[in-house]
Amino acid sequence: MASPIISVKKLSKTYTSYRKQPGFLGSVKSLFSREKVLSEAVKGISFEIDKGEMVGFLGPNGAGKTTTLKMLSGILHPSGGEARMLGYTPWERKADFQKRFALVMGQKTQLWWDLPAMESFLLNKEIYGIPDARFKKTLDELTTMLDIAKLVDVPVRKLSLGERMKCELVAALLHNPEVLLLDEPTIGLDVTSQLAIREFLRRYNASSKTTVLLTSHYMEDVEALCERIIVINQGQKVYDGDLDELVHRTLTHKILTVTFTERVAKERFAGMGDVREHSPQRVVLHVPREQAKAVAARVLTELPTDDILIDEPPIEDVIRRVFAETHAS
Amino acid sequence: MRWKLNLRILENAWVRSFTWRGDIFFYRLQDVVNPLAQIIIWESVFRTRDTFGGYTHETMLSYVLVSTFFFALSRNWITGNVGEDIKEGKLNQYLVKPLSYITYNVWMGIGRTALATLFALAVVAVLVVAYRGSLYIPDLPHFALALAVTLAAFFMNMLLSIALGLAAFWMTSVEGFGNAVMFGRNFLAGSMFPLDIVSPLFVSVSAALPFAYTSYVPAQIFLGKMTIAQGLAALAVVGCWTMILYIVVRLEWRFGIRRYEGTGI
Repeated sequence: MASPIISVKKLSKTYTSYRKQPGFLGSVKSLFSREKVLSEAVKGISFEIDKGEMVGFLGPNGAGKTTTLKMLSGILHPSGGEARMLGYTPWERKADFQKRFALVMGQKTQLWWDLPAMESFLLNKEIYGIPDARFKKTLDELTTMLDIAKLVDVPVRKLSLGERMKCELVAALLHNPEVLLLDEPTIGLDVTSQLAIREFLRRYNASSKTTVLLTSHYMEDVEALCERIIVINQGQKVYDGDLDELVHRTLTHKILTVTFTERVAKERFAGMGDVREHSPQRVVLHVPREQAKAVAARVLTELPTDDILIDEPPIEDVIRRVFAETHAS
Repeated sequence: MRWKLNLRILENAWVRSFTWRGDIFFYRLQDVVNPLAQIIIWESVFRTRDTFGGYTHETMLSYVLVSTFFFALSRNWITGNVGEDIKEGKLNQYLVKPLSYITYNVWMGIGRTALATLFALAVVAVLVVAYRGSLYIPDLPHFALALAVTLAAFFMNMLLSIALGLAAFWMTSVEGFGNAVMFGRNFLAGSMFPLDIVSPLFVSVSAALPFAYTSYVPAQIFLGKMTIAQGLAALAVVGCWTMILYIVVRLEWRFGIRRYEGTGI
């Protein structure tokens, strides 16, 4: 069996900061004496990722997602534990290792702000030692896929956020990395741009078999792209596995949304489930998963049904519930 | 040495400099105003006397012009850039690439300084034509040695700037620290006035620090006020400072990078 591309064992990171009292007096005091504060951003997490996998890394703000990505890309030295990516220890920052992966951070740019993106692409060409013919071919492919061929000569500061993110992806993928670490790649983008980035990543992963580890606040990203998710909360891993399995394990109900051809009184839904919304010609029911089909059948036969939808609860509910369970335990 | 990469960094530095025409104009205005202001002051001083602090009208004018050129060659903007990269987490993008951040900054510095020096040279050339006949002309060995000291001082100064910038690993913000050192550097480099017109003690203190070797010392060699042997000794001092600062930079990087948190906007 092939060894995993990414292997993390009991990885931890503690940040040091200094507490300062508010106001001018607090600022003056802090010049002479400061209280040291240690915060554990990542607490001994372990996981493995195989070649070609696309894994969603989920967690609330401050959960330790970005810190983990920074350790995997060699930006940060861990406080403890081990990590191997592509057979290398990331924080040794060997050039051979750096040529085989890329990191895209949605909130930071690697492009020269004042210059057209093409200048950054050309710089990356030399940094990664990409031969001329391969550079041209990859650039053509990526700019066509992302529909930005006309934008590469426009100064980056003049681009929209979505256009800039597309250029960031091109800059990151020019050297055909085997592993792509994406930290909030769709943050702040409008729905159309989010969809375009998502679709690009899906197609790119399918065609290049690049291993992708993705963090995102948008559950749609993870739902659309990742079969497997790793959930972390307060620096600890709370789930690692199939997204569908987590949904089934965590959620005990399905959502039935029914519209009627006539007015239907609320009392008619007694015994069918939990009525969450009701108007004379529409109802939203939360029904235990195993009874969903039977209740749908009853609705169709007993009530003047115009349309019926059976949905899974939003993925946000799943994650929220997982976090709530972790807090409680 | 990755020459294609280094030349690309150099080119990007130039492309970036030419992006902002207004900035170019006002930076270059400084290059004109600074020597002109000094010339106006010294012209009024020499109106009533023939010598001042051991300088004649001819050697003082020559000092102003060569120190302007040498100082332009030693200038860079690296401290602020490095400090900002660390403080705002922009260093992240360099740490994940097969690229030496120090070498990258050296080539960026060479790019920007080369441009500034070219403009300073143009200003000095105009002033040389304007004051032709009233300037000191050195012999070739002194001229070559002065240039060699300046070039060595350029790299020394670049390492000093990087060292100051890397202090951000510990201090987070190095703006005040860098400005204080740069003010001291401008004062002690002798780019505002020849250091020996103040006092021998001032010259001795300056000679023990790296700054005077960027402007005052090469100007003294140029004017023949230092012998070739003294000039070579100065070159050796610059070499020692360069070595010391290189070690400091390496140590700062080695220990600082372990403290780096990659946070910021």
